[in-house]
Amino acid sequence: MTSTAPPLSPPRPQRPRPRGRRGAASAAWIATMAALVVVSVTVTVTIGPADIGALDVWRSIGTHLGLERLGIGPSPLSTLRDGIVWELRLPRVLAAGAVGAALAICGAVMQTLTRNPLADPYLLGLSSGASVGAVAVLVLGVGQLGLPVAAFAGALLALMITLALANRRGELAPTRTVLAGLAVSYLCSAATSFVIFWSATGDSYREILSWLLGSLSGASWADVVIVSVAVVVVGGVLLSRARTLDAFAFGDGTAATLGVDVNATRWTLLTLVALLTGAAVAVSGAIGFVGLMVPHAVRLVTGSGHRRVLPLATLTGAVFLIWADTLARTIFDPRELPVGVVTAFLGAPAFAFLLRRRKVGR
Amino acid sequence: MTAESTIVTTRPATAQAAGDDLVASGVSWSVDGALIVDGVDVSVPAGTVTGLLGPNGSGKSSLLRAVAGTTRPDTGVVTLDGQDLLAMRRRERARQVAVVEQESTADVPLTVLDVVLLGRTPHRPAPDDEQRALEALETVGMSELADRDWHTLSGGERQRVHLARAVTQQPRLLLLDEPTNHLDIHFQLTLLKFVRDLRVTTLAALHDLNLAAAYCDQLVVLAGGRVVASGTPEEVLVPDVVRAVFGVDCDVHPHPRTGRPVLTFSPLQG
Repeated sequence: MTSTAPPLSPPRPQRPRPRGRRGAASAAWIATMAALVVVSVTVTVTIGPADIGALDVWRSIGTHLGLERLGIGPSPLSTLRDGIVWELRLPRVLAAGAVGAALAICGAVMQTLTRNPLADPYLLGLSSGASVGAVAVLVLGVGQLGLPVAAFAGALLALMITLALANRRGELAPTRTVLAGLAVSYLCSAATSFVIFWSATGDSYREILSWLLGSLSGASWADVVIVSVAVVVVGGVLLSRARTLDAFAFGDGTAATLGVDVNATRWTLLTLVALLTGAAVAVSGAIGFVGLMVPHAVRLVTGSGHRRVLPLATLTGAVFLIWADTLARTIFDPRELPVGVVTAFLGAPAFAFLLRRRKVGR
Repeated sequence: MTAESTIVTTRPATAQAAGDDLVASGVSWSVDGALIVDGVDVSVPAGTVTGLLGPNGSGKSSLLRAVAGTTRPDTGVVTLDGQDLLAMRRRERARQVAVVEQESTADVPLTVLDVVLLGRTPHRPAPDDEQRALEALETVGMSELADRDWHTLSGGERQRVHLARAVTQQPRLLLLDEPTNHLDIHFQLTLLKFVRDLRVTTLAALHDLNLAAAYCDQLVVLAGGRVVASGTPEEVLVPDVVRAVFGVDCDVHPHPRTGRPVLTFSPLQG
């Protein structure tokens, strides 16, 4: 051997490096968005036909939470107006926030695991699958608790069909995945409409619209609890797998050589995503664009590390849907727009802007 | 040449002490009934670079994937320093073996440092991860670009970042699948020099016979999924082998500066 390469002596980088600068920036973003969630909840609860101020809202909430000793309360509102805050507006606003958070988390994880920038629960058929499950259970009349379970089953089934259609020799080509998702999505939407139309007696069109385009009207505290618990539990598990998710950036092959069990990880995490989607759809119907757009917007700010993306997407999704739903219920008051119409109107142009600014997809 | 004689005749005396020899023996892998890798024996002495040559479809990439454990071979044993690589858990194996593929791309926004830090995935998170990543970037001459958007890099820079990622993985075995594809001559030479200077046991599939001759300590030639020649570049890169495997005639000259073989090719005569 004639190699005369000198032994390697890497010079140590001497220049001071702003360590953890990105970490600090993301922490600032997360704090900002968390504050924005609180502000959004407070402000949007005051918005509506009955004129109730922010301070009164907090006093009412304080009373219900038993915080009067801390000086928050007592509620100055009449029983009726107090009921508007505590029984109608607050659950609805919180449900919107939780659903927005859930959809944003789902979108972020699906985009990573399918390596497809267009992936989200709506586009790949999970949301419509969940709708079918939910509607079927409603028709059969199996109580409140069966609803999220059936929605989860529907979402999981839709996911499996989409991925089976898209899979070719173990590869998920982006175009095939989206086409398969659209096919499943249309089929499930048709099934949802058919089941409602066939079974409903009264205003079936309104109900069809609310399942296909989403609606948070009538959200209850039970809904808030279901979705919030799902967000915390599933979101927590996904966050604990952040490094594994990061390893998918260069595809399955690279992830495998970095020690990731690609198939097991993909199925486990996508099942969790279906669970979260099911919880969200059971409460709100299928709402588009949140899961697609929020993660991309967040990545532009923080980069793609999931330890930063997942928390920030959760908060951003919450703020986004809180305001989208507030618009939906107030613009044409007393009539309500399906919230999916609002998210599409807000989301599509923003997404087009993102596409132009950066080559998100190819 | 049998596997045993390959191992015995090509191992430098120093390798015994250094440790991490790669020995793959009897590796076979088939897909849909077609035998792609057919009983291959390859050994890489510790700290040296072995080039894997062969025409398209000769099984180079499949052999690398089998050694990396990303596809499980039908038969065969792969050991690194006597440890059975294929029996290891994935994550444990990823702490021993790093892979650089040709042209692997990402769709999401990433900085150069993000990419290099992926090399820490199989390891426990540690406070000095970032320092380690920066040192790996320094090794491939890219530390100035740590904060750059990965998508703005040229092909040669990207491959160097992937190499830095592999270095950050702290492997005892480096597997490279045509790492110089689509790179201009400058980046081809610098990348392979970086690899050689790492002094990590390396098995690299290469297309360019002259690059292989210039930078590899040992060469293994595959054809139809079998080893048809192995040894030093001088032993392997001879007109008979090149004619039989690649179907071209060649003349071999000593490199005027290094003395290593340089091949010039011509079409087969009659």
